[in-house]
Amino acid sequence: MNNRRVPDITLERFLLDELDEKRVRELRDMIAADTVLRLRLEEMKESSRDILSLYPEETMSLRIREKAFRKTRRPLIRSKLKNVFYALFSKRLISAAAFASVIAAVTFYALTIYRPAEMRRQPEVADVTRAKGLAPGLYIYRKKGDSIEILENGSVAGEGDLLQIGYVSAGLEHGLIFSIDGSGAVTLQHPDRADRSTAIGTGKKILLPTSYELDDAPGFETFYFITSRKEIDVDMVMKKAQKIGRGSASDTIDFTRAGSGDRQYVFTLNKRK
Amino acid sequence: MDIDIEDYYRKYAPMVLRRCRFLLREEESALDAMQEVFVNLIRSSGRLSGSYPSSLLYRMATNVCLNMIRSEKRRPAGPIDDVLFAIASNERFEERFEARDFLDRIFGREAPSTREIAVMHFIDRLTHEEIAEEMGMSVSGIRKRLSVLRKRALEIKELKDE
Repeated sequence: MNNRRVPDITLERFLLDELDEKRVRELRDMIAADTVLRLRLEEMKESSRDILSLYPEETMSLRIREKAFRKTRRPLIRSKLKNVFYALFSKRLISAAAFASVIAAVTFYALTIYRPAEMRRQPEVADVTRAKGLAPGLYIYRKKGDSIEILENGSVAGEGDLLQIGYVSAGLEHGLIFSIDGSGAVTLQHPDRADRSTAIGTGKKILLPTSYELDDAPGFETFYFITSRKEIDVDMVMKKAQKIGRGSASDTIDFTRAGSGDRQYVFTLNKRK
Repeated sequence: MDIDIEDYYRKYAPMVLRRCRFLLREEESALDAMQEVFVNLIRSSGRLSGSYPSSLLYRMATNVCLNMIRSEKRRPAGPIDDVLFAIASNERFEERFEARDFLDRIFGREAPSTREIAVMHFIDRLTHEEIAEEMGMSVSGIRKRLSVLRKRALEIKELKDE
């Protein structure tokens, strides 16, 4: 960070006290040595005072609430209710019991049939997970339309497929996940950087924090999951993986010795032609 | 999680408005965008758990501004704004990653926006590590997204190389 302009978001978070301690210490040192940085911070503080004075919380929060209210109304339900009430009161036909039953019906409709589009689209992943149990190894899910499917070792996949990698460790507390594709490219999946700890969760299925998109590499993408009781030497394993590189379609390569691993799980996806 | 909008406004509105002013360069639009951010915050307050609100609000502000630029077909003056306009207008970015966002929602995470990453990289000039921190993604994930962007979005690449 020393030779670059400190990004605005970093200064904003510094002012809001929402930076981690290490970054705060770094920034304090920089601020002490850099007049321009001090000026930028002062300008931000002054700007904050101006903004809150120009657009005070009392008026703006009301305006925001009103806009939020307008957006969250459900026109479908409201219009149905309006029609129902119109029928009830203009024609004077309905008894109190009937009125109650209409209200109950509308409530039932609102709670069970009418659901926002986002809710209707949510697929159920949990059933897939339960069905597959907790055998140690890699689990790879693929988005398929509006649902998720779990892939088998050897499944066919193609460019643009969106995958979510999960794993179950057999009690070993360190793990390394990476993939080698048909063009020889090696992608480290866990940890996200070679200098980070290989610690993993145990006792349950754990999904990596990011999903993964297959690119146009030909032939295959093979995922390796190496587990160990102790920290795995990521550099060693990555060097070996990169050496193997192009053309290494085999899923029998043993990476455990390269990085002090104990067990290895392999999962290959064959690329669609 | 219920939020106290007054508290949030008092604390974060200046940051949000500064972000909107920077991206939109026009006070009235920036003010609209800022309000929109807080409206979105009220409507999706569940997303706030477990992270610093400043990151989420900054990203929400970026997204709201990009949407405004795209919907209003407004091209502000200046070389940076050309890049911003290209990012905002290029729907292919979102089409490409809409499905990925959907996956992330399923697994209970933030929906990372490729446009946000593009703005952080091309406009804000954040490093991969800084973007990863802001987005809550891995550095390798950010690299991958940016490499796909470079590969597929020629206009952005050309603007960046200028």
